[in-house]
Amino acid sequence: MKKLLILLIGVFIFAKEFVITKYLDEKPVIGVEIEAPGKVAKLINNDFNVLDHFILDKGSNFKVKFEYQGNSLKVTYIRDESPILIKNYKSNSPSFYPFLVHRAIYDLNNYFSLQPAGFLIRKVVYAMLTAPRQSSIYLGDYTLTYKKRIITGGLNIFPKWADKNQRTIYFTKLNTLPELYKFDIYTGKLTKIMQSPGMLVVSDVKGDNLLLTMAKNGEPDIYIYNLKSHSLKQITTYPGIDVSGKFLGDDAIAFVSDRFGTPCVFEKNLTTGNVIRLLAHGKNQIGLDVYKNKLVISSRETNNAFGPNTFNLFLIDIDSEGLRRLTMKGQNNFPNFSVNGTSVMFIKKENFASKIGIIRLNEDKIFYYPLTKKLQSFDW
Amino acid sequence: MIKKLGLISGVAAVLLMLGCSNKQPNLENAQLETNQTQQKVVQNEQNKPTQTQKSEVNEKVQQEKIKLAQNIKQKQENEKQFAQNVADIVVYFDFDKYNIRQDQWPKVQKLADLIKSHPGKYTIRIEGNCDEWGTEEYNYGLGIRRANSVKNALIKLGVDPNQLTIISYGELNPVCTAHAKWCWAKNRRDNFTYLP
Repeated sequence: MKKLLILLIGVFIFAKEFVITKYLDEKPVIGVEIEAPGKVAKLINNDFNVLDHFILDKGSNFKVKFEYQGNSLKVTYIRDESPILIKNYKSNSPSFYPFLVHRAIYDLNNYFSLQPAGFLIRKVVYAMLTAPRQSSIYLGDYTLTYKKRIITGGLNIFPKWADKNQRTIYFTKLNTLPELYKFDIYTGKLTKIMQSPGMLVVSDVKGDNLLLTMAKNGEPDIYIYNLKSHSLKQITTYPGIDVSGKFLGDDAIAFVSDRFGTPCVFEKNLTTGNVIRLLAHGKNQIGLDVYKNKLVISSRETNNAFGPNTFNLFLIDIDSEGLRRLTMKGQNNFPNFSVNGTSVMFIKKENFASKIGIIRLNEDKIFYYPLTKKLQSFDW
Repeated sequence: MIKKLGLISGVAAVLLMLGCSNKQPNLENAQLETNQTQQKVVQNEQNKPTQTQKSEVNEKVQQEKIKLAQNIKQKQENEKQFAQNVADIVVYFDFDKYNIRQDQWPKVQKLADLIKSHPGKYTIRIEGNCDEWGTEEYNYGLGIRRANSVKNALIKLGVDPNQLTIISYGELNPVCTAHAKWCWAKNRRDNFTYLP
């Protein structure tokens, strides 16, 4: 009976996985010409690859010429051998070239009025362990090619973008007590929001409301903190682990709780207070992110906690109750939706190596970049 | 009238002279005063410590200073030893669990005895740690619960709650970085730090 149940669950999951969305029936065909150093050319090709919105064909009558020199990138749109548009991208530092490339591809995508590709120009903020009890916060492009350390000294963890324009971040500093700060990456202004014993993490941001995980009495619970009124409201009260709160729709949160013995993803309605389990599949659901009514969850499927096929990513649509498997093997964690919900960034551990993965949901494609060091957490 | 005045003045002059004569030094008085002075000097000499007495006092002061320093050093040594004894205790946990394992209870009991036998104004920080499995926030929460489990146990064993504080390092404070089960088991632990 148990085997039959597993089989049925398996059929259900794989059936969902094989539904491939025909997202772009006719991709624009363009020719690409690149005159740039190897690393810049590589990144241009990588962006086209990840975006997957174009068919690259040198014989096309529409060509795009990329010329990188100094700290400038010149992009010429050519139709029938005649330049029709020239765009210049400049920076004051040679290290900024990834942002110039991403912006150029983003603009080209917009020129053809294709599905928005905002993920290309989003910055990534991440915390990385530099030594035991030493963690710094870095700023990077979505491929982590660009890297700049912005917060250092002690344990600086859980960075989270504080605004849509990606000017400011929240992060936790572990001093004697955990302290929550807001940091302006352009001006360097550092503002202390609060401190609390035990645990203090910003899990999600929605306007002036922050979903915090705090553990005032040694029990991690989820709170909503309003930045304007400074009001703090406790949302979960289970005497165990309640973490990773994410705003879900207009009147609910999704969160991870061990109230069933192992960590699982639950939904709590903020009006009625009702709590329901969101995903029955898997034995250990620890990673979670939400985009509108969609959830991406990292779930362990095997009994063997340390086996090779450990944590896989699943996409759930709350409205349609659809379930879609996103990864097949390895330890896939830290799922993080892109700003427009069309991509998921995550960390994959496999064969003793870590890599950052990007799943293009509409294109059914996954791309990986190697990671040299272990990330503590990141926000895209 | 003039005669009377002259008589009074005369008597006053004689009395004045007599009064002054008492304070005039004579041989006997001088001898007496000298003796008194000598006695005073002798007395002062007697009060004044001799060179030997001086060195004895210095030695005593020195000894007291040494004793004080030794006491301080001993106290520091005791504190150091206490901190080390506290740090030597490590409570391990099972994968994804925060309940104290049966085999780890003696360590908690030992820690409680240590704290109770060492009175003073200090805090013990209980630091929850996790292995590399799991996501950042859940591991951080798990670390807090592991720290809280031992805190609650210590309180039940009679330790003053005001002496205990908890923190979670999640997976950020590994003692072992190999990708192996035995290594991950070492990282699922509570450490204890003495904060004077």
